[in-house]
Amino acid sequence: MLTSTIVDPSAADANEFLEKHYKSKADKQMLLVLGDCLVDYQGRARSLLDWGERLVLIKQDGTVIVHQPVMREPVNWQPAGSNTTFRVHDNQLIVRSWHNKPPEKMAITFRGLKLVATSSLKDRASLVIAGMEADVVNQIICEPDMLEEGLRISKREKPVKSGMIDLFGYDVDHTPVVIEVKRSIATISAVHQLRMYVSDVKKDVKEANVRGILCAPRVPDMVKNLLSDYGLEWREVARTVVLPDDHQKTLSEFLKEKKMCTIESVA
Amino acid sequence: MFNAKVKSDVLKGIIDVTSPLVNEAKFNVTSKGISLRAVDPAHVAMVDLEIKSKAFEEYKADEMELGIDLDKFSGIMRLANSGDMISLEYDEDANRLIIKIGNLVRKMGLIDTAGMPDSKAPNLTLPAKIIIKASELSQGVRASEAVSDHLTLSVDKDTFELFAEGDTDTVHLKLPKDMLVELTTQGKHKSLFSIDYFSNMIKSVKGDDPITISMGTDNPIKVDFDFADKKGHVSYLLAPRIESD
Repeated sequence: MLTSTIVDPSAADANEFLEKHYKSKADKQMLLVLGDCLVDYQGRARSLLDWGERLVLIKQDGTVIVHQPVMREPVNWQPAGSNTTFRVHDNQLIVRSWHNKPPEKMAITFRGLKLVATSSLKDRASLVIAGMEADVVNQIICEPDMLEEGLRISKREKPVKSGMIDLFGYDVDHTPVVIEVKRSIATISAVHQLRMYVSDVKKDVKEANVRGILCAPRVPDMVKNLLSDYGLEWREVARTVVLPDDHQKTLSEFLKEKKMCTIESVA
Repeated sequence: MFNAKVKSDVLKGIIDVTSPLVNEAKFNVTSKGISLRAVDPAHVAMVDLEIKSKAFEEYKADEMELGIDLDKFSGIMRLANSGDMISLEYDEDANRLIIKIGNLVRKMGLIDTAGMPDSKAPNLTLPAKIIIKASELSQGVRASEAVSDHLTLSVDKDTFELFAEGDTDTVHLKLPKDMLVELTTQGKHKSLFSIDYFSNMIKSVKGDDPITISMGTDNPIKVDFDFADKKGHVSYLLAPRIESD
């Protein structure tokens, strides 16, 4: 676990530094490069970001992020699993990142460098939300309308062939609905899990039309697309993160008494 | 379908009232006007906003929802000057809002409202009602900002008080009934609130404009006021803080 920086490095020094730390696979290192750069991206589209001083982050799983000095969103990126190489050409550091599914590549050319840094970060925590998974499930049972008007929950922890569904119910058109609740960011595997549950329910109830809703504090675009492809739905729920402090109450505490809501039997 | 022309100040008013709390909001559009309800990420504060179609110079709308990124919208509205007429049009094919400011055309992508569920408002009985001039209240809040991160509001049949206390400094604002627009209460009531949240709620109301406060001991506070020349109405709910001993 090494933390190291070089201030105002030359292209050659930065190149050596980055190559050395990127290559160390045991205790993967996170890399930062700050400098005046040009970003050339080619994927389904083509884009060129002209010279400007930016922050480039190469994360421990291969993700590359390019941030401008302002605004929340990165201006360009490559996803986890991307490969990155470093080299020097005409006294300029060139950082190339690419991946194959779908094929995309990005070349960042630095004509000036302010800082390079590296460290190895350990983080196992997932996004903490105010309320355990059980609480969110309970919230949906108490107020199914929070997901959709007219939704009725009929069973909690319904066993099916592939596992246990968090919540099962019916929508306003009496269509069966499978609801899977996740405590942290929705993942591709959660989509496959939901897909299998929906497929199991279709066989159980002998209905072609069964809806599946994935509930999570955040649903990334890629996951949304996959859900769409499978005819499944998503809701971002319980995005509440951390309370200002222990003395501050939330409005939800005034919505319902702190008791478990019961599920009404559905005829 | 949504097509409207409105003065920039009205839109800026909507942004001023919602953006301190949330980054995005679902605008519910009907032929009668626009309403929205949004809760901040910590679930501590809620804003309920309504604006009638007559606040707009021109207004034609079907019932629909627009998912607005308020940070983006606010940035766009900064391009407009006070008094500028803004044109808004919903582009159904691209799910965008076409915003025209003078000769400038800005198309803004909208957020998918499928992921924006409706929030429920708690059903509260708030036995005390105080109507106070905005400037009086904001002076007390501004004074308190320098002293603490929370303030106490208390009321009895004769007075409304605001109190804040730091390690060495205090702020006390005491307003008897005759200095208020209105005061009605059943009993004495007292609650604590975060100054940060509270000040964000009232900062857009100016001068002699009235602010209605409804409260009850250890209950959320409800703050109501009009905007856009009384054609718009805002109602805030702020959860209280527990007394820290």
